[in-house]
Amino acid sequence: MIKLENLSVSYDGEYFAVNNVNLNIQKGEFIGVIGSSGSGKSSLLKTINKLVEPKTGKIIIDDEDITSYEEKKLRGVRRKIGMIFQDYNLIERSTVLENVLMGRLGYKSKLDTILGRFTESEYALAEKALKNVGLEDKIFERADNLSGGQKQRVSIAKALCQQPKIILADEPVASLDIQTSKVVMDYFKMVNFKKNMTIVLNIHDVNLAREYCSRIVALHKGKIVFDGSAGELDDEILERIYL
Amino acid sequence: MMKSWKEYIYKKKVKAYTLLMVLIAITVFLGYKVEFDFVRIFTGIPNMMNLVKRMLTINTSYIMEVSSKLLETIEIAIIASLIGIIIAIPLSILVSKNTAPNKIIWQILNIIFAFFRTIPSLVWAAVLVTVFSIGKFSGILALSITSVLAALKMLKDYIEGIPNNILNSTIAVGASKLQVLKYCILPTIMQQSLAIFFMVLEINIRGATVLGFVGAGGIGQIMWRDLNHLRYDNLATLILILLITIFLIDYISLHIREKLKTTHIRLNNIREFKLYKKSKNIAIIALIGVLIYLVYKSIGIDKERLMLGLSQFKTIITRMAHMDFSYMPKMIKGLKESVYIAMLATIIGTVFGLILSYFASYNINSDKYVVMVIKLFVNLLRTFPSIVMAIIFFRGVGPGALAGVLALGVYTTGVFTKLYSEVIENINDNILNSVRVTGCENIAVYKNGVLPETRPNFVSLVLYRMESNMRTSTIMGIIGAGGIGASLTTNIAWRNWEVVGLLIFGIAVTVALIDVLSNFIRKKYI
Ligand SMILES: Nc1ncnc2c1ncn2[C@@H]1O[C@H](COP(=O)(O)OP(=O)(O)OP(=O)(O)O)[C@@H](O)[C@H]1O
Ligand SMILES: [Mg+2]
Repeated sequence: MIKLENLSVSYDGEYFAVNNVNLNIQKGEFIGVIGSSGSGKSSLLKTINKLVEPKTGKIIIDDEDITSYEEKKLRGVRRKIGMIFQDYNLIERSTVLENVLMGRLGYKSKLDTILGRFTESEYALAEKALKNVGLEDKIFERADNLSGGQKQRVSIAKALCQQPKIILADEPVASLDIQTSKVVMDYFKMVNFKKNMTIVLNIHDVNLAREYCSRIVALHKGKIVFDGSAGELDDEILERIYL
Repeated sequence: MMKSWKEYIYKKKVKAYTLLMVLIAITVFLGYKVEFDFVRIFTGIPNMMNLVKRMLTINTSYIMEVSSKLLETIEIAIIASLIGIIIAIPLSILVSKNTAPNKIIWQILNIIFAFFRTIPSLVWAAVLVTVFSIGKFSGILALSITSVLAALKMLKDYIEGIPNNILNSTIAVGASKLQVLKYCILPTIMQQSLAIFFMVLEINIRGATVLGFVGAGGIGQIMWRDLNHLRYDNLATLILILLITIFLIDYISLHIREKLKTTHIRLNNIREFKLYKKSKNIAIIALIGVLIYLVYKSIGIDKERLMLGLSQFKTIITRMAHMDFSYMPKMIKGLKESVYIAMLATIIGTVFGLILSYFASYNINSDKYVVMVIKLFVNLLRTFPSIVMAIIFFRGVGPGALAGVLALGVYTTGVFTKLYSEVIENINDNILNSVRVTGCENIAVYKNGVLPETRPNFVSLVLYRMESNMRTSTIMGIIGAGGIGASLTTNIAWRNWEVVGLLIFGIAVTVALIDVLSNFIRKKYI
């Protein structure tokens, strides 16, 4: 589903935030990326849908080499990938429904955009996505009236509304308390299980990663230092990662 | 190597005293330059008090007489603010770093706008009056220009403050540039635009009252006439009317802003939601249509006059571009005086502001009534445009730089106290308590807790006031309160466009230099 070959990212041309990463992710995998602060987790994730431009290497999504894609072609790829951020990044002044509908933007023409038009089935999709995360009664609420956990569920609904093949999540539970974190992680698990969706998420809480992820990848200074199942991740390896 | 604590304290003391001596020396120098004279101020007090007393005996028949001009003033302010925000919203996309479609256009536009922002509205008005004749059209145009620029700056700062991740999260769903604008940027800046509209309106209502000094419509025309005829009784009534009007507009604007924050429409299903969206869009389009019509009606200028004006404007611009450098020495003298006025007013405002802030902050001063009275007083001080305040000081100390300094100083005191006391009230309680637990006096809490804690805000406030005062001091001379403004009005009146060009350029350079200097200090000390 996602294939990264010799991927490197550098912001200043000197230090490699992502350093020669090779990763092959199959459909339906639930992958947790762990690593200390600054190890390159966010950079890696953002490179997958080319929010960050790679220095070298190849990005292959769904058997399609997107490494040299430009804006226009990228739109077609990006709409297949739902992305979720730590600080939710909702449009605070828009309603929950409007935020979720934004998941459909990748499919909209210029005219539809100017008129702000969405189809009946898209409204239905947005409603269903909100129902899936248990927020159907907040649908017309303005996003800034929600709690942190609710906001994060809205951004999950927005990603679901995209009907993506892949979900990328950058520290989706880092701003939440442990109780809410579990609720949110359960949604990921459910989507992963029911729709066989491929999920890659950055997570600094190793225990949560162990509990939910089928495969764990550890980064250290931009390099992959561990790639295996939760069971294989022992204390010795952890010590090395968080040195 | 560790220094001994004695040495440390000694060095710190020496540093503090040196700084104090330098500040005093600068103040004395500036005072000398603007002919600061305590005796003159002191002997002028009865005259000024007399003016204030007359303000309290309202001449009601005069109120009726000037009411149409007062309405015109409000009209000018509102229309200019509307034009300002409506033009600024689309432009803001081009000048904000994170939304600009083209980096080269972005760079060029920002340089041009920064240059034009240094020109005060009264200068625009003075020039435009000679082109489009006396009347409110020139005033509206002048204020609209400065409103666009002011709104643009505020919007740009806001847009550039939108977190990158918010843009990214929209791009990540496969949104096009247009979609990012419509679904991400626009909703985010919409509410801010309303706030900015009201901020611009508050600036414009003050600006509109003085437009008449150069013949650009509004109540200032009458004020100017009364001033020249030495009708201080009428002037007193006018000033009072202005005070009430500005107070009211500020109040209404604050009220509407609060209200909008909390209003909310309940929707029950998707059909209602769509209906709501549709009617909202139609309402917005209709509103803009009505506004454009009203603006068109109110401006009231025919096409021929406009065309004639534009062609004249072209010749004026060409003549301005051929600057007359022989005027340089005189200009430098005037600019220097403007800088002195601005600096001294800033110092005066800061010193009095520091003292007043102590009494005006709820979390320092435990006497709630004193706080309220001081806050009211401070708002009174900042209600007057400084240039109107200068007229009051003319009565006491006569025209000249001193009146300018005092007027600007009073205004600065008002604004500084208001802003700084708000900074103080936002300090975390724990910080104050950590000083209070030592059992010290309130004044010690102020000196040892508040001042060090808020030093960055303090420095940035002083610098911000200095930048603003520099702009105002360049127009003080228009009514005879010192500085470069005097040469500017005379040369505009004489149509010496080559000199006017040089003067405007000189003002822009000076204001820009002060901005650069202040930015440098800000970076260094914050
Ligand atoms: N936009 C950027 N510009 C320049 N350098 C950046 C940028 N983003 C990240 N970096 C640098 O790249 C390296 C990796 O950062 P990244 O944000 O990918 O790490 P991370 O593992 O997500 O860290 P955290 O857990 O703190 O979010 C860091 O050294 C960081 O300073
Ligand atoms: Mg990160």
